[in-house]
Amino acid sequence: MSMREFDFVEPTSVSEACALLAEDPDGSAVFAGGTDILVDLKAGLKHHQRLVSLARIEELRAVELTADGALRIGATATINQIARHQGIKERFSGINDAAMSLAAEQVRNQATVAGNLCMAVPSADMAPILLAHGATMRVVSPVGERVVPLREFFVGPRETILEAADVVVAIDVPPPAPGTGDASLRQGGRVSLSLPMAAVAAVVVMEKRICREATVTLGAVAPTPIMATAAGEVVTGNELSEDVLREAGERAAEAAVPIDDLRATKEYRLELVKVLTRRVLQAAADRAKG
Amino acid sequence: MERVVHLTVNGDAHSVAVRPNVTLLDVLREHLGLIGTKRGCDFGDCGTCTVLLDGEAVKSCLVLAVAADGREVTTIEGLASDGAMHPLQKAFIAKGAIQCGYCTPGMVMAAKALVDANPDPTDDDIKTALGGNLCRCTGYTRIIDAVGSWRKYEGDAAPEPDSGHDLETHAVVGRSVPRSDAPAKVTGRAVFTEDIRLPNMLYGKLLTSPHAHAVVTNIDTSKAEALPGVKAVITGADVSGVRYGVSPARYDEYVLAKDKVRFVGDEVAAVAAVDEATADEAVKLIEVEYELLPVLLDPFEALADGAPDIHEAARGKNNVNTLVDHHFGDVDEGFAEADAVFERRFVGNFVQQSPLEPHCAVAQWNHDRGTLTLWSSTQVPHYLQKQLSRVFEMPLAKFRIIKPYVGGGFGGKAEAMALDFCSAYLSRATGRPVKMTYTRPQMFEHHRGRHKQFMDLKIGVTKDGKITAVDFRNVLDGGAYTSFGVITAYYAGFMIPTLYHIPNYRYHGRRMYTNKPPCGAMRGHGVPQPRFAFESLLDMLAEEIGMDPIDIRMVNAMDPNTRTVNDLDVLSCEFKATLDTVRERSGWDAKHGKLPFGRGVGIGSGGFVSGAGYPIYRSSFPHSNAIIRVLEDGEGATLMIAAAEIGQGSETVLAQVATEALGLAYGDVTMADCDSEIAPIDLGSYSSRVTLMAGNAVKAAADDINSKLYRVAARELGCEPEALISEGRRIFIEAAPHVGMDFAEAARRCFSADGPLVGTGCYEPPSSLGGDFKGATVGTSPAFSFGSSVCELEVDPETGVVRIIKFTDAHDSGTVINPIAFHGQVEGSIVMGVGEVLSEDMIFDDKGRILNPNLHDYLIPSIGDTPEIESIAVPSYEPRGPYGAKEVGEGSMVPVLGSIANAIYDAVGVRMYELPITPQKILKALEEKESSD
Ligand SMILES: Cc1cc2nc3c(=O)[nH]c(=O)nc-3n(C[C@H](O)[C@H](O)[C@H](O)COP(=O)(O)OP(=O)(O)OC[C@H]3O[C@@H](n4cnc5c(N)ncnc54)[C@H](O)[C@@H]3O)c2cc1C
Ligand code: FES
Ligand code: FES
Repeated sequence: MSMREFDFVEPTSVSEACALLAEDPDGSAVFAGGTDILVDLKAGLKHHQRLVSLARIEELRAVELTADGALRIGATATINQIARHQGIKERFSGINDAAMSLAAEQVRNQATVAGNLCMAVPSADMAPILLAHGATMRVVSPVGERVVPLREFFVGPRETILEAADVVVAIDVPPPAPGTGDASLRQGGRVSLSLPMAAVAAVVVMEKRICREATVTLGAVAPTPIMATAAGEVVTGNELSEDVLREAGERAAEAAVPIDDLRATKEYRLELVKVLTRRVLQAAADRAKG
Repeated sequence: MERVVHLTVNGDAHSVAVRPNVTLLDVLREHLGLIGTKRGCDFGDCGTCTVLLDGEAVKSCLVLAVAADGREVTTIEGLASDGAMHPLQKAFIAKGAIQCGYCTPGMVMAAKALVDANPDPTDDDIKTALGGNLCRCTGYTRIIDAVGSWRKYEGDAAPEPDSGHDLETHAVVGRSVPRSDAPAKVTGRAVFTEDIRLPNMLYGKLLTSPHAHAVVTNIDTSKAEALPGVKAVITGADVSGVRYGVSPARYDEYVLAKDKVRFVGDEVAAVAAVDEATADEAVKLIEVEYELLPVLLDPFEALADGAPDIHEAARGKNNVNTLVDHHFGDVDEGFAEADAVFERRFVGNFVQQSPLEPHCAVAQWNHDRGTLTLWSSTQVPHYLQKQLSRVFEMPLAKFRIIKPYVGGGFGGKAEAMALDFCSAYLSRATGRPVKMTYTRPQMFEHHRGRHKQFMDLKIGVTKDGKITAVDFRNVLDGGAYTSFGVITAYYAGFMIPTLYHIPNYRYHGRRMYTNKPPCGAMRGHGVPQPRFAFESLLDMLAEEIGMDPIDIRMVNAMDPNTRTVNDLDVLSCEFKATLDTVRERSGWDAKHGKLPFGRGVGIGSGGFVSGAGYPIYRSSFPHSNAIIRVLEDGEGATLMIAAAEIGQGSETVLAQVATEALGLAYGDVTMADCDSEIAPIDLGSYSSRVTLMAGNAVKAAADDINSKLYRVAARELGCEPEALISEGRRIFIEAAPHVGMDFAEAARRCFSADGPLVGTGCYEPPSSLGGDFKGATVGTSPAFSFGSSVCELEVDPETGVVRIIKFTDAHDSGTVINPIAFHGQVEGSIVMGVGEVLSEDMIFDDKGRILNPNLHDYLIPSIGDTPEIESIAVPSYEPRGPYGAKEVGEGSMVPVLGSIANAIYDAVGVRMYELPITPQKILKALEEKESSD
């Protein structure tokens, strides 16, 4: 599949990247791992005159767990950097779940977390769990830097609040409260290399058997990854009994607005949301105990 | 703008000038000639392009060359050091983890990244690390085994396969010798058609129709022709008026559309240009005007009175492309004798072979001699040569067909295709070699995969389980052209009475033209879907009369030396042994109906022909023909045969037969290239014919050599030639083994006295096959295989997701010539079957466009979907086969579908009538069951 011609630039600083993007905002695009962009270019779905690669900007590569338990994911950190990070495995198991469910090994070696979010497809695997953790995006533009909650980041399928010369430089995940457990679950059409038909993530704060706080988020069942706030509310203040979980599942399904497509029907996606919500809440709570 | 990129590839520094839109894969293959890294999809889905970038596995089709600047790349060519293979490579050879070899380099590189980081990986580690590498041949089990045991192959030891399953009756036959092509495939040296680069070569591309049904009113190629770098553009006006196809009665395809287009993907024009990008660009510049016609996507709509004709009416009334109407015995009487009769509709799916290697052809027209040399990824070099000769209206001798390594076919490469013809025309027009390759989406549009069948099946049984009658009405959605479809329509019905004794049988089959991609022959050709229906309905009847599913199969099972109700000739048959075996090995009696809700076991049976009894077009030539040439020093021999190795291992098996028959040691016989200038006609790789038919021809050629040698040796040893045998590189008196001479010595004398020592042999199926009614020849075969599979699985009743746990499979394949190759076929069939039942289906929109023409959304199983598989060959001997051998490659696919469907029923009590059995269908069925309970 031959791609149309484009220019490829590799700035070494964020400001240089922004400047390059600003030169031709409509014709340029940020290039991170390229696993989404190249597919679009090959399929002729997009045409960019210029790709601005972030690969040579050293400071964007880091993944940091700070002493207070916050997590910062640099813009060019790959999915596998996350999946192989021992600290993340222990403290943010749900983020590890999501990373391990994405595509397959080679893609995980190349694809970035930021790229997954910026691509903003409804099924993006990293989105629900980061949304549930209340992650924020640090965005730099030629006029300065701002922080955007992930909750406000997605606008529609393949659409975000980013302006043409914006660069996401990092994703920040706040430190989880004591007693937090998290999990991410999704159902694809085969074990690896398949996009999810539905995905659910949960972050819960447990105090003994009582859930003090719960956030449930959904992927692949709405135009963007979404919060299922009501589902979290059902659980909050309660033990995770079968009834409570079932109720949470129903609420989550009410939040979902799935479509029929070649991967699954609307009805099936709703059923999946119910089941996955129950299971993911239970898994998150179990981890909080353990 | 070009830019110089510095790469260290396999330790060597390279500077390459590239444009930014060039991928690392392009650089490796096109600039550096490192063809070991394969392009199976170009979209990140298949993993055949996997290389290491600074030590990490990446898909090189998704890496821009400019982004790799300054980095270190390791490809498969860099893995062996100083010619010594990496232990992983040896493990792949020894464990039989290689079949067609197209996935192998990528698979090995992904495994290399794994073992570098984790030298003792668990099975789960392996499944995670290789999750991005698809394999369509092996079923993955041997790949997992190879990677898991790689450390056993450290050091100098040569890769010796496990001999656990070997027969002890012969020296070479029955032994798990390593595949002769494995070293070339595992090191990336094996050259597939796409890997060929000839001097001054052009690249061709096809323009296909975006409409499912339309008249082509005008084509303007002027803009395309004006594009710099474009060397030729051809349309329907430039190609032969002779139509091609598979069955002579239904040659219905023009090389390029002359009048109408009949499916999205129908070929309209082709261009040749100096590079692929220019050719792609030129294709877009061709302007075609279409007058749209009504689109018929539903075979029942196509069948309705008043439906427009997709082809001129003469080729089929009401769009019926093939009609089969058979009645043996009297079904009405049969049903009257039955105690239980069930009738149900079952519906199949559109399954595509999806070999990892895309179809490719390289044509070189020689104007000095007026000949064409064509390298093609084909399963049937002879039929290709024949069709070229028809279309170009020139003698066979003008066409030289060379089949390089083929990266899987499964029936999808069993006929001449547009790429073959178009590359030939373009080469003739330009006087330069032309290469053409299908993109992955074009492979789906070309299709020639399974027909979707709508099967109304009725079976009657007595209270003892004896089948009294079967009535089968079938509508096959055939797509826009005939392809193999006549045969498919017959096979779908004809194979039903081969497995069980069926005293009364009626089959009514209609293959419909629709405006979809043409369906053709795929592994098990026409049989798997009807067998899914039959095995499901038989289980339902067993339950109705209170009988165990394996018992009801035993009661009806075919016996050896039977002439079936539809006049098929069954000689060897160990079907009952396969049932006994899987019953015992799967723990059936303790499991069936006894496992907790959500877990179940199911049985399915099936089998296949060992080669078609008659060729596709009427001809008097033997079906297989072999030549063996012993070298003048007598130390080795070359086998020349055009039976097509496409990954199944037939070259190795045929070399084993030749070696055994000549009494030599494995390695003494080498295979000549599959080249029509070297080897005589052989009908190729379809209908599971190679082992039996080509094997017989090879054995006959070896016997011919032996008879010449025995004459010479008998004079020398003072005995009768009949007293001699050849074994262990010696010819000796059977009754007095110490009296003999070296094979080489006898061969030298023979050569010195008479000149070239050549043996020839051929095989022609018995003329007695088949009855004398219309179509009686179609399902005939010298021998039939039989097999049974027990599937154990889990169904998640909340999501409908099926997890296959284990397959226990027993197959009667006659004498097994190479056990590792045999089990590899079974494992590959099972995993392909799992995909076919659970996830694979081409989905069309209402305009006839395929919505999932890629390996991203058309879901063939990944390594993590592979269950545990126990494969058993039951002892058997087929008198018509070489050393008693018959088929396994296709027959092993057939039982899989029913066994899964029946296991799902055992697990959760829902009967699934429609393929694929997706989680959402199971969930729906569970809900319906709950509301009706
Ligand atoms: C075979 C295959 C399988 C896949 N399977 C899955 C899957 O199962 N689940 C899943 O979620 N995804 C899947 N993907 C999609 C893809 O791998 C991910 O979305 C990936 O994380 C994208 O990251 P990237 O770095 O490759 O992005 P790129 O392709 O480089 O960029 C993606 C988009 O984000 C923009 N962008 C990237 N970084 C920034 C930034 N820092 N600031 C501003 N804009 C930015 C780009 O301009 C572009 O529009 C698959 C892809 C392939 C090829
Ligand atoms: S060719 Fe790169 S993944 Fe298929
Ligand atoms: S051996 Fe894996 S695709 Fe053929």
